[in-house]
Amino acid sequence: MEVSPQTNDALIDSIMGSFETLHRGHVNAKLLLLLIETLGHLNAKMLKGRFQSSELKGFDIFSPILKCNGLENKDEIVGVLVAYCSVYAELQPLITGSVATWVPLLRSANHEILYFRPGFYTIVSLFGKNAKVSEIIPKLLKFNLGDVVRQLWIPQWISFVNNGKGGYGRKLIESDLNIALNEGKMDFFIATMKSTIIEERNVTDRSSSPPFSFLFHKLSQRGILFSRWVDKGLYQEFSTYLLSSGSKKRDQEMDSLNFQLEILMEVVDHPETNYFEEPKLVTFLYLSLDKIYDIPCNQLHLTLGALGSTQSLFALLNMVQYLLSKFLIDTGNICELLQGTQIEMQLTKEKNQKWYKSKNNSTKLPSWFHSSILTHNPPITKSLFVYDKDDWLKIESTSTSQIVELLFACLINSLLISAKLLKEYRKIKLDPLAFDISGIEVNENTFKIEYLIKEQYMDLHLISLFSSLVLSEQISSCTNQFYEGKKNALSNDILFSSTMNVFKELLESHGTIGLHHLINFAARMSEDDLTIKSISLKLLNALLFDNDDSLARNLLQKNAIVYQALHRFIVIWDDGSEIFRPFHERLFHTEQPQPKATSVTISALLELLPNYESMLQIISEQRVQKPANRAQTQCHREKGQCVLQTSGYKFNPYSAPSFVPAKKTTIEPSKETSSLTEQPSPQALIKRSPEPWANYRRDITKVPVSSNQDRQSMFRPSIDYSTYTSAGSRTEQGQSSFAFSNISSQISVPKTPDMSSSTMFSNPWEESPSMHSTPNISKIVNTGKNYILGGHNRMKNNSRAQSIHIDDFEQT
Amino acid sequence: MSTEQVLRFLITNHENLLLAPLYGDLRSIFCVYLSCFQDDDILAATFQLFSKALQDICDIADGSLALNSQAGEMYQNSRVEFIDVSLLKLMHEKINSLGGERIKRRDFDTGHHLTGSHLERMLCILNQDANENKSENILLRKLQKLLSTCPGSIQLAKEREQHISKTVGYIPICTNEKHKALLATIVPTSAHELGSIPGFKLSQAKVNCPGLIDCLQRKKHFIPNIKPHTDISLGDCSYLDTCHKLNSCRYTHYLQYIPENLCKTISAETKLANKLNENQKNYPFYTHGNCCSNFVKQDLPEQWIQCDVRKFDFTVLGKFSAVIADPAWNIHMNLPYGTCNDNELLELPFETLQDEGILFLWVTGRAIEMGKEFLTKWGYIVLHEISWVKTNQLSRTIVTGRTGHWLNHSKEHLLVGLKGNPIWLNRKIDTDIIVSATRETSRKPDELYGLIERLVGPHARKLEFFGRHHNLRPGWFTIGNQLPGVCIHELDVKKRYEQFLAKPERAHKHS
Repeated sequence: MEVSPQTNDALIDSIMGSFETLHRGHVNAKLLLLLIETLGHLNAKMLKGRFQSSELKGFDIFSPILKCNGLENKDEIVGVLVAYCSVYAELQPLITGSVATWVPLLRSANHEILYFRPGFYTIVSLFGKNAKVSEIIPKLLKFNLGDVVRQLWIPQWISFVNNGKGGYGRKLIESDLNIALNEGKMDFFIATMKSTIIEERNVTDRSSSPPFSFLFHKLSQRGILFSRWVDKGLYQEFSTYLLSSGSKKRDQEMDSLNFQLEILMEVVDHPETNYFEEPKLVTFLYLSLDKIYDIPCNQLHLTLGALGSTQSLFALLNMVQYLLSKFLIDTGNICELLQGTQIEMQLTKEKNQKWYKSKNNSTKLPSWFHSSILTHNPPITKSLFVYDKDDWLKIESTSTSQIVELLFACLINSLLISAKLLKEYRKIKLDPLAFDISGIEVNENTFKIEYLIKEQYMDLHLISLFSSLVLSEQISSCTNQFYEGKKNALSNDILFSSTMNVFKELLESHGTIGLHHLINFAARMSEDDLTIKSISLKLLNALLFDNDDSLARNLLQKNAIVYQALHRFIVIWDDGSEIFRPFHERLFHTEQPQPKATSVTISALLELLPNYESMLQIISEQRVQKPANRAQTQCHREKGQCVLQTSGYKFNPYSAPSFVPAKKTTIEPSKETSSLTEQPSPQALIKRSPEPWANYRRDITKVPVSSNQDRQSMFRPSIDYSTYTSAGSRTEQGQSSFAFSNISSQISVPKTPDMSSSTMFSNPWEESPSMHSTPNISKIVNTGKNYILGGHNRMKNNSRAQSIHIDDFEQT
Repeated sequence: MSTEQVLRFLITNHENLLLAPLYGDLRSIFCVYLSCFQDDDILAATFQLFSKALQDICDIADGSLALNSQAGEMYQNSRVEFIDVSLLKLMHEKINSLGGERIKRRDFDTGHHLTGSHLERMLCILNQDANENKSENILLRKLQKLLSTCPGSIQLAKEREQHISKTVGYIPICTNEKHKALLATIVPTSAHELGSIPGFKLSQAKVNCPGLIDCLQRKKHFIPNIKPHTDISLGDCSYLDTCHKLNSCRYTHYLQYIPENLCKTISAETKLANKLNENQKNYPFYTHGNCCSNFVKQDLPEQWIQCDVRKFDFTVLGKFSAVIADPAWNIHMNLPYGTCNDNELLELPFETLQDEGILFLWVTGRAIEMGKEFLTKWGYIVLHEISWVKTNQLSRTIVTGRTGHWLNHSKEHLLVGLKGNPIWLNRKIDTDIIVSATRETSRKPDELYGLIERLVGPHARKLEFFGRHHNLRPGWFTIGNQLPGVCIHELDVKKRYEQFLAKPERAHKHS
């Protein structure tokens, strides 16, 4: 953002004044937080030429802080100040001039292995756009920033001071290849070695050969992300190397706001993009959002209008937010799947290439989000400006974890922009929900349209915000490699607080309407997905009870309709857990009702399934229709009962089950089978059984199964559940037989049928060989097909003439 | 609180009660009710009384309110799903007519019982005799009106195309026989080309035929190309400018005469019209089917891959909104190009090219029915059959086609298949007839490209299968075995194509 020279001067003066105050030993927490906040408004351009190194000579701002008793989070505050002083060359004398003095004052290092090794730029980027410094500092404590300062940053500064600038840089390049893999070291290099990098870059033979070429490539990838802090000349070098299209005109266009907005449009136009395959687009997106943040809203609207976008600014931002959240959620799911099934995959890779399809993703967004927030577009051609040069190979070396980090940063940036825009609108008294009806003939439809517009607008925001919350929930609960680690945990904290910030801004801007839509939206979503219900509750808790003077609570108490909506939501979902307590006690001023324990039978639960009866009916009909064409049996079905009559049955060798070696047809009833009628049936537990399910289940328990003769005319159930009942009823515990996990295994895995028991309820009309059972068990015969066809007995062996001998084998 | 008051409230606000932010929620409706009536009586009202009043209304005018909950527990967390305001009005009239008397169910028997879901209610209405009930007739009429309403999107899509479509210059044809005969005598011809008219001949013509010069400035003229072997008495050649034996054919052929300044004028006018259209593009008043960057996005240059489509991996290409295929059907005729057999065509994995979209399949002769079968097999439903009515050089319909066993083919058929539910299509802009001139053998009319671009939007990915060099077009991807090499701009496609070539077995097949 451009600031006037006067503002710039005032900013610099205040920073300088703070340094002096600290140097004199007047330390207090408020001053430090304000200083950090002010430093967050700085950028490299603003500082250029404002400070003379001599001005800061002899200043020691760190010793007083470290010596100050009663100051909380000392190490973290020093860490943040060291980061700021490191990224600006003009402020570096504050460290180099006094580091030897204050290092002994630091607490001794824990010598623990550092898993969180942020560089200076990571830390300063946390503060740049998040004005709430006081919230972030305690988070840094959680992530041991003090240890990072002691173990990573300070040793580098000491070495730098001892060896001199050039000497240390060259030593690093020649000896420490690890630098390109260590974020902390890379940031130090970028912040302090500008001249060394440019010098090396200008020596042709060195610049294009390793190790410098590799190092420069990694430095460019890192440095390009921090335009606000990296020295302009160095940034230009990085940018030219990585992003230049080769055309001067195009490179100039890349700096324009048009280009930044076109990038957003490109992302929105291609919702199917796999960002792992488009590192250049992701880099551009990050840079675009970073720049857009600094542009005032009037300029953004003006430019977007001139570009003729079909989407509004908020729509673009929210769509980008939604797409990024969705992609990151999917990435998390896939990652978790990969980890969970790694062993399984190794074992079954050859057999089952589509192993991933059998898994259910634990986290997903409601499907209507996608169709609601995005427009319906055909597949669109990709714009060449993002992909216009073969140099994408350069960036392609960007690792997937780097891309995830970038996408994460993009998401946070887009949230910050949304919050900033809402704030700006409020400042200039612009209400996006204001419905201008001047010049329009007002009729009953006018207000309907107004409602619809408002609803669409709120949905636009809420869908993207809830998607971010779902992502945040996923990250905090999952353990996969992308989202593990303290750095991501910190980013997740910031993601959550940024999302909450937008919610608060929305309420601030739209008041009761905003809150009412939010509660209704949460209620609507909770019906779809219980994960989202818990997220909604967390959100409402945070909005209503996080501080004493909550805007949401004030709004709620002023409006009966909103109050009713929340009351209804809470009453419906209150399961007696702790999260509901504040709603009752602080809002409704009643005691939280105790939950009642109720026993419900499984059948009663099943009845709750939508369209349960019609589903059951359809399944029964499908199962009954099949045998009518195939087997020479007549199946009369009445009220869920199915009675099989065999008349002149002729054995069909092509639908016979697989070969059963060394076991013919003299099947004795097994103990398990006969016990079926004796043991207490699970149906006894079902108090209220629906038709035809209940009738059917009662019938099957009455089937006498005692001899071969009985088996020949045995009852054949008409619906699929028979198989599961059979499997379940064989369990010794006599538990309910609704073993749904059995469904897939019994249907899909071809196997030799278990003649001893399961055939009595097996479905004779299934395609699967395991389901093939002849109506007359005594006629089961080895057709030899599995031998002839190598076991692929799904196929008919048409080449073989039908054998009378086989057909009548068992009858004779 | 009286039932009459609640009734009046429902009648006045019935539409808004079901919309946001109330969504029919009874407690919220009660809040609004309280805010509408601010007298002492109302202030003493409770939700229980309000519920009771609603219950009374439901009991008396059965079906006037549909709630989502079951009887007995209807007013705790229930919502109103539907309000039949006609019934409520009837009840209100009845109350007024009865004066202070208490209305009872028997006073208000509508003779119908409408409960259940919206669908059931609608079906119930449709099943009843039109004259049976007044309020239902009103609803029925509303329903009929709704169903017969032409959506504004169709009109808007048409208007948008009118404003932004590229204009193509059009020069009318002169039909004056006298002009034709006169020009034949004054315009010099050599090797099937026309020369410029000598000045003195032009002034002479001006005297002999006063309207000629003016006509020349506005219209194009076809001048008989008389050669020594031409026998005028035989009449016009059936093939005219597409005749394969121009140097020996004895029938009459024609050359087109358009003065250069007329060309310039038309070109300037077209340019101006297109510029105006271009300026209107950045005001997206109607954006259905348009991508977000519709205005700033530049058309991709033409892309093509020369390959044998039977051996090509279609997944390389990605997904498309529209596909044109002009297969070399084997129609059992002597054709100047190689043909594919039916099985080879049927085996082409067209289903991989689109998740949803539209496919245009050129068919002829016996392939018409086969094409329909193939489309079904590939997962499409046959929507339409576009006819291309062929015209000749003189813009007349063709009477002697080059194909046809029993009758000459003077038209060709283009089957239109639809896959999925592509709601982004801009419907009803064009017709199912293309009237256009024939060109080289099997070359299809360019009008089809415009039709498709209007249908799917300008930046949608479009593919042409079995294309040739003349089919290359910006924004289109063309595949065919007669194309000159490979040209791919989309990097993802390029990458996949290179991977495809790198696979030894595929590369071998492909070559």
